Amino acid sequence: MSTTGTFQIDERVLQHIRKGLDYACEVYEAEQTEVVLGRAARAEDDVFVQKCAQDNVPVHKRAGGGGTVVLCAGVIIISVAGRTTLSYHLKEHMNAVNKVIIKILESLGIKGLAIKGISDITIRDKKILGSSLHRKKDLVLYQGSLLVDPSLDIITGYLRHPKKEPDYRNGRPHRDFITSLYLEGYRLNKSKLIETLKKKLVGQCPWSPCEEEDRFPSHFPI
Amino acid sequence: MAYPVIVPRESTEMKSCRITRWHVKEGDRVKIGQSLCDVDTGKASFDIEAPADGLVLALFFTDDAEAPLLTPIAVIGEEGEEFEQFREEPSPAGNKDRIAKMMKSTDIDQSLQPEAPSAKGKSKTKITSSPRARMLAHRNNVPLSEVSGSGPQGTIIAADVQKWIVLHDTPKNGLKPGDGRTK
Repeated sequence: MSTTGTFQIDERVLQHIRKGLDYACEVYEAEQTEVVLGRAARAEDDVFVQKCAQDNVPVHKRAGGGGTVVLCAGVIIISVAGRTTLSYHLKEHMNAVNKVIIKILESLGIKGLAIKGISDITIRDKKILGSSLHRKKDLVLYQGSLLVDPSLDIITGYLRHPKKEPDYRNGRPHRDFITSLYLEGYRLNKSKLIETLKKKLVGQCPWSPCEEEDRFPSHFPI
Repeated sequence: MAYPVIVPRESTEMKSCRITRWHVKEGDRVKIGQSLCDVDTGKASFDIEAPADGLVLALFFTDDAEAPLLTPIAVIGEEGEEFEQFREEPSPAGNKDRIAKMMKSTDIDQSLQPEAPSAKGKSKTKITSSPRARMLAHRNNVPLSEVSGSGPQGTIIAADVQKWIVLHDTPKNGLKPGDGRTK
């Protein structure tokens, strides 16, 4: 098993920030099939490791938390990095990006989108995007994977049922829990979708310095 | 003054976290804000920072251990200070009573009492607090008016809020007490 620690592209996104950019974003389609574990996940818990080995499917570990995902053709990966003035607020940071993604997808005619669990995007109670966050001091990296038109057989073939699951999953096996935009009837041009996501996400940092003092005034009268 | 280090509850869905790696060991000297360890909540990974300058007096969990939220995972203080009062035991409620009792025997108990109104009857007193303390209080629904500060001129710092949480809250999770703890 390979444990690269983070994707090369995520590292590139982070490098932009370390070099002084306030905000950076990459959107791309997975080129090969690979399994990616959350930072604290264990391959033997989440993955059919032998099957991965038989099929030469690499197993990586990303910097961020979250569940294990299978990346393959038809999955669009969204990496957003920036700086924030807010301590913690992990869920808010994830869903600030998810809300932008939902707006973009809705502008393309996709309906019935919602945020469920901690930071999943769903259609009809089925997951189409999972996301995770990595925070180091004021540097934040969001990673999301959007199921556009992947083979669900590939995805479900490598993943065990997770030990932890969001309430809305209700014990459903992967096959009944995830869906794709394609299966929901949306035939999108992936290149165009990637360009749209890039354009909109790059233009608007979801974590721009905010009115911290307004939210958390420095003096509370007794 | 010894400060417990706790993992804040980031959302109601968050039940526990895994300490993926400690960056410090017992006896190390740390500065406020220094990264003590990496934790993973199942959705997000982040650093837990030192709430104060001082020595790492104790680490209550090992690498890769699952830790309940709002439970002390370490203690920062000065050499010779007691820290066992912060170690969680199987009965969280009983343990918190014990912590409160022990804290009353130190100067800490004074800081936990709400300020009495002044004799001159000022109707509004300003509470000064650090941004980190305010955010920690906000995230954990801690009324800052009930927390007294140990920072400069009584400013409430994050460690004061953490202490308040330890004394007033109990971890909401399904972990068995003692899982993954160090002895």
